[in-house]
Amino acid sequence: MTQPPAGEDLGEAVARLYVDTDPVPARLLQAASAGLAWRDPDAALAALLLDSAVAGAPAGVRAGPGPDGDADDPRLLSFDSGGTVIDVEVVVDGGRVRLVGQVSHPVEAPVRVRHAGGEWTGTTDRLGRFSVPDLPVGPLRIWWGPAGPETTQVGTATFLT
Amino acid sequence: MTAFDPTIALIEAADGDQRAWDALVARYSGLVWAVARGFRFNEADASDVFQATWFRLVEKLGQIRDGDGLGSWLATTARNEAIDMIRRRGRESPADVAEHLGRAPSTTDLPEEEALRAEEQRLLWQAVDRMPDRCARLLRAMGAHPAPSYAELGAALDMPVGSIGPTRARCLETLRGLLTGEPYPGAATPRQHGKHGQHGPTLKGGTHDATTRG
Repeated sequence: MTQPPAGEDLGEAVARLYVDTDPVPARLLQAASAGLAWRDPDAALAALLLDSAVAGAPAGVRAGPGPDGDADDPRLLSFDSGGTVIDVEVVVDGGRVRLVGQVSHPVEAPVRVRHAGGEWTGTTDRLGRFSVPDLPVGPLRIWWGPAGPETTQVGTATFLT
Repeated sequence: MTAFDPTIALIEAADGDQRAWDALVARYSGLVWAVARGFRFNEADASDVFQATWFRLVEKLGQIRDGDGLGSWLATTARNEAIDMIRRRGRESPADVAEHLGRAPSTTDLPEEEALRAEEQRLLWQAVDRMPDRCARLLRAMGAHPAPSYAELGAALDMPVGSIGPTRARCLETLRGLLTGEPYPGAATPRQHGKHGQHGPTLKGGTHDATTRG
């Protein structure tokens, strides 16, 4: 560039630069489009209360993420719907995700986990615990509670692994 | 063909209307992506910020009704997700200049005019990469397609709308100084970019690799 454009021309050149060389990747447009299927207006949303990966370790302590994330450092997530708390330990290992969860109600009840490849279904034990051994990396969402006309399931916010 | 109305699209999407949802995605994805990229994330981290932002909107469908404010809400949400991402990483994950340049059109086998433009874009990328964070975020957000409103830019930058114009003017002046190598008024200490500086001589090779792969 022998003579860079001045003023407004430079602003336009920068805007055009991004339009030309850094558009939204097509796969992300598809992912956002598919996101609508994850909505569940009937479930009570359990919002993310705590993410150890965000709030836990002091800055500078964590090692940089490897290709599969921090395999030896479980991430703890806590979700709260107002009446129900769902705690989940997330371990990413070898490109797969393992979940160990605890619901604040110590009762056996259906639990299901939506993932990029479909849905896992199971049951919490008498102490409200559940575990999911093998899920694909990507977005996950957990629902818990008896399904029926007179009960409301709790669904966590979708989280990325 | 009726004009796109985000308020109506929000109502329809909350009812599960995929076409309305896709219209929202088409309209605002450029803004969400630009906010994420403005934080100089690499593509993987920017992708996570982008996806998380859209999931937050899925969860809020039926509650967010103000279509005119939707762009600002998405820009704010993307900024918050980006800040969380920085905390998760314990550092920023700067996109490699070469990653961007790999996408720029190759200078080989192009008409002279296009080759010249590709070379200009290469130099622009390098200059923008040396800008202070605030300028990089603002210019990247302004480069969203379709172009964002000043309210949306204010949300993306957490900046009063009245400051956007003057800040942009200063940032463009800084950028011009970086391009010409001339000192510029109010210059911030340049970010340390030893790593990127060393890319200089190998840029052409990197671009060549990218084109032969594809």
